[in-house]
Amino acid sequence: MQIEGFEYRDVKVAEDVSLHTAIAGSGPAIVLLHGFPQTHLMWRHVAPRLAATHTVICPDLRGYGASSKPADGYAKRTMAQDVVNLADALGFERFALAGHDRGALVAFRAGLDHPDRITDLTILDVLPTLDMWEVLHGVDATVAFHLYLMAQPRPLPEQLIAGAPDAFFGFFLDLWGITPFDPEIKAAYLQASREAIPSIVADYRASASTDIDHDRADRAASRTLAMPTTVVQQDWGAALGFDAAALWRPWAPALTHRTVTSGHFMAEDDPELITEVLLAVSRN
Amino acid sequence: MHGSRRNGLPAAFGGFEAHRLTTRRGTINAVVGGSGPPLLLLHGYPQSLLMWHATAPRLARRHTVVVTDMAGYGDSFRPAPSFGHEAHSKRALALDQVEVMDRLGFDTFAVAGHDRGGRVAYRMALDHPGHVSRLAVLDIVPTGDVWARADAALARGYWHWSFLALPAPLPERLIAGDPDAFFDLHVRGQLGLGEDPERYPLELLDAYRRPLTDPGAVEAMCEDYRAGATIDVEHDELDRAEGRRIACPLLVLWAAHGSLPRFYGDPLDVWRPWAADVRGAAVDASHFMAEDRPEETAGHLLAFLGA
Repeated sequence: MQIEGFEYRDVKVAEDVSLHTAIAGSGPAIVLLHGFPQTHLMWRHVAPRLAATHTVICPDLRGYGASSKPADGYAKRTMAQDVVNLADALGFERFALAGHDRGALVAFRAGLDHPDRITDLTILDVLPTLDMWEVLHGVDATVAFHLYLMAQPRPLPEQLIAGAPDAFFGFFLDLWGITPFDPEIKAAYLQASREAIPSIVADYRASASTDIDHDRADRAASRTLAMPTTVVQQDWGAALGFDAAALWRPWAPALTHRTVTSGHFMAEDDPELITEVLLAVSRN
Repeated sequence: MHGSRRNGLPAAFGGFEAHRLTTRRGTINAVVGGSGPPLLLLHGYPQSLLMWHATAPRLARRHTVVVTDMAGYGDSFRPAPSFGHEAHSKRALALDQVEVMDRLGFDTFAVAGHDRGGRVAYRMALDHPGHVSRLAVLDIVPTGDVWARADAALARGYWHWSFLALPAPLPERLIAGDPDAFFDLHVRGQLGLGEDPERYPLELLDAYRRPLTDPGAVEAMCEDYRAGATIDVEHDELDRAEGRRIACPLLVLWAAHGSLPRFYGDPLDVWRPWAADVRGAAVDASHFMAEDRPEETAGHLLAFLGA
């Protein structure tokens, strides 16, 4: 599957790492980063609309989809460097950056590490890694079982997931959305995830260790996101007993926070809304 | 009563007699041995009555020891999964065992439970104070306290609590996909079962491994944990709110090398609000203390029961 009207390139961003990237349009650049358990295809409804006014760049993250899957290098800091290198390779000094889920964690890290490169940041449906671990408590914390499972040492999670990959990845695709996925796109996500088990687990394992350390160091140093930041989230703070906007504000002095009623897969549940959010960011 | 279908029973249970006991919900598998005041032994996850093989004979010198498989485990009946997980609640599992003791003619008895069996044992003491004379729990704090104090560090350390409590059939399918990975990397590698090969003959480890390839056994195990994340917590919270406490003397044993000291410091502090008479000790063992250190575990239990 491809995003219609997009050109595909494998762009080298590091030694032995190329990102499989869909590109279309012209004008200011916006990079869109996908989440778990997905690929760049999650932007298939939003990206063509943005391409009318922007150069739209949709890579598969390192370790996902048709991008390289090295054994190591899944700290969000490394994955954020991939994104900056991708923009370099495509000739964009500055760019808008939007991410969903895992991609939003990469975007968050890129915003902190590369403030001079990113004009605007849009974050879809995550908390920063450090805050996420801090809000999990009590019996409600079982909702994040995949974080705990994939935090376990190699090769336990890899082997358990490999024993029934479609049951595992399909669980999230079925649970987190509102509109069920069409069989064709669901099959594409399942196949891509099935072929990326070690790297997906490595991405999550990094978020249980290295990524927390990086967030903590930034918090201690009062480093914040220098660019306008828009965060769009479901209201799961209500269920877990926290105020998402209050958790985001210390990280993003120029914060626009929106709570929406769409499901987690909001760029697919409600592409009009997410397109509108991204165009509004660019207008301001 | 003889001619039990249980096979692979370690020689240590040689003096014990096999029983199949009818309760209102189903048939409970048991072995009974020794003489003296009655003592019920309940096993944990993911095991069966076999886990008491080295401890029970020592206890049988002074007690009539009843060792059972809890509903869903071993060769006991498997309750059908129920909405709300009542069928696998510790309340339901405890009632089965009270009926077992009644069938054997014991109205009042002591109970010792390890791990999930410890949860059934303390629930029994709360629900049936007239039947339980003494309570020993091995390497647990109450379910309600586990969750009330759970943070991300605990959720990661006890990842199987969240995992097994997921809606059916996800954990069932992931375990079925690679039961050996689950047993070797989680049960053995993480929980520490079978570290000393002298204590754990291959035949015994095979007996613990085998249920993980049995869909009904895995389903029951998951339902036990689903109840543990829902209805069991409600029962504990209600008792706490209404000030119900354990009326009999309580012995708490915990593994010095297990997770309790790491997460709770002194586990007795967690238990004290639950009972007036609380005592306990750390055992120099892994979580599977009754098999790692049967002499020491039996010694603590005998001292407590004889006191």
